[in-house]
Amino acid sequence: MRDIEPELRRRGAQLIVIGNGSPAHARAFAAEAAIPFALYVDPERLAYRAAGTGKGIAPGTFSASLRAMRKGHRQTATRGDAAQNGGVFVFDAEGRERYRQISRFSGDHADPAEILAALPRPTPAARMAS
Amino acid sequence: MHQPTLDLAQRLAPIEVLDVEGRPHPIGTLLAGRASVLVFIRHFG
Repeated sequence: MRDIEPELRRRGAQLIVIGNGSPAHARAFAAEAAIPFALYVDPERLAYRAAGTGKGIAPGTFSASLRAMRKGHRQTATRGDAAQNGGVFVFDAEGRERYRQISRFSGDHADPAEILAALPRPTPAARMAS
Repeated sequence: MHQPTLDLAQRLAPIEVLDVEGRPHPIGTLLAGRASVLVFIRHFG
């Protein structure tokens, strides 16, 4: 997601990331990973439930972890509920949902090209600001 | 083709999330007025 963040900005869109730990978890993660986007937490997972993301360690989790390790990603200390699945949603400026991907297991990520395709075309103002 | 709907944004709008300092923000205010990519991550780390 970090890779497409500049393109999101160029298109006048924002990236909002929500985790399921505590503010202290998010603070530590933001400092370690030097993330360039807004980070929030939902400790009671009310938003996760509303969005329809489930919990569970599904088949494919272990092999996805191995693939990630081969690509050079390293798992650091897990903070939050490791069984919580995630998801990606794209909304336009009026709040209409234009895309959704709900993870079924660790490593089941949204396709960045699909996320970008779901965004509105960049406005002239957004293009000039980028 | 995903059919654009308002349902999810309306369900999420009143739910408050906390920033890294612990301040609450209704998701509706975060999404307002701008195209947004909202990511729910599995866990930190």
